[in-house]
Amino acid sequence: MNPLGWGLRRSESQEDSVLNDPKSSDQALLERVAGRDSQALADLYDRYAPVALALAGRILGDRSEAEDVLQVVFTRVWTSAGRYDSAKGSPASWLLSWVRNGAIDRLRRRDALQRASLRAMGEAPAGHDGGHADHDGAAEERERLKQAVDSLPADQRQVIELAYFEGLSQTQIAQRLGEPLGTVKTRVRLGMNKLRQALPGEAH
Amino acid sequence: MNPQDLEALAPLYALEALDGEELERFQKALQGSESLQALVREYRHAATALPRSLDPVEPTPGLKSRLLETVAPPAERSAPVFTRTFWGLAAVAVFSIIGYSLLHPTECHGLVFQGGPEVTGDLLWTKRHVTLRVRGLPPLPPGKVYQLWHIMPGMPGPVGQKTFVLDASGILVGSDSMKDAITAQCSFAITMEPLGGSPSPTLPIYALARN
Repeated sequence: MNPLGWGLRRSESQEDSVLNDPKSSDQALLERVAGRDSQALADLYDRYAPVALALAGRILGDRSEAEDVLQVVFTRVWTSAGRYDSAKGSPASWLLSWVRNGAIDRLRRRDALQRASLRAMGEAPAGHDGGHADHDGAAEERERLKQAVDSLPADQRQVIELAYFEGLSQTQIAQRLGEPLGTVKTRVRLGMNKLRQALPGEAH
Repeated sequence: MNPQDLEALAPLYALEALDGEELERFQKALQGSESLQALVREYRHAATALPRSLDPVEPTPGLKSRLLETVAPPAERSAPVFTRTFWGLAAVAVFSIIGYSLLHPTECHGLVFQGGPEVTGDLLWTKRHVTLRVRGLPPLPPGKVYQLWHIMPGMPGPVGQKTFVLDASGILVGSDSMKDAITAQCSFAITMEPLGGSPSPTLPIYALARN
């Protein structure tokens, strides 16, 4: 597994040197950002921005708004990298939780009419102009994760996605689906256990 | 709540889907249990499979450079500053709700623009530099521009900044350097003005970003 995680976009020779460079782990980059190293922020951006934008776009259904979220989040990374606490999660989960929460906050601010019109545009982020040429290893990792998510039973995947992408609580999910709360809990637990098995360990 | 019950709630907590009394009890138990903290950490990491399995989307060219320019701006440029006039009720309304938080002067901060029902946007600022991006503003009639105003407590009125037009997508995107240092108590407004900008703002305010 690529120890740098996903979204890496460098040439193979660059990748080799980066892989061997302890200064370029996610954790090390955050420490350098905390020390006001803007190149470290640029490296972190290159590594995470495409997935962060995909996540914000998936939640918001609007590329422009998703990019707004991205810019705010990376600015906050710049100001708050020193407060990252590895005890609470990996750098990836820390950063992506900001993207997720920022996008969900925006989603909640929209009125119902605006939300409906955006969804009518389709689930794919609008204006997806140009592909993302990431490294083979990152593509393979993404494919592996996609298979893990796709292999979840539909009812388990549904409750997890409602929580993750729409920010619904367990009670709200139960109400939305018309299912008992206990059923929702069980589905989340079973599905998350499968994802946990698919992602052993944490990439710091 | 026994350990098995708590472990069963960990994936819900990691997804931020836990609510009510269960959330309170779980948070209390979490503080004193390293094993539970480790479990939550694992589930949080597992949840990243969802975004990481999505097809990545390449950000718009220029977004990265705007970000880096904001957090580490180039040498500060001089900016046009027009005469200042009192902005009456608008400024009073803004300042009445401003919180006086303490912020480090060299840090970069973000504010959200609000306005009409379709207006959304952000303004990122350091001590003397702003980058803004606002969507949902009305199209500009011929001979008109949007102008940014910097509103500071203690000043006689808003300070006129750069003027902007909308890009091809109808979005106002740009950056500006401030003659006067931005503080945590500052707010920003956007009005529609004649070409070249105005010495004093013309109401209404189309977008407002306030601390």
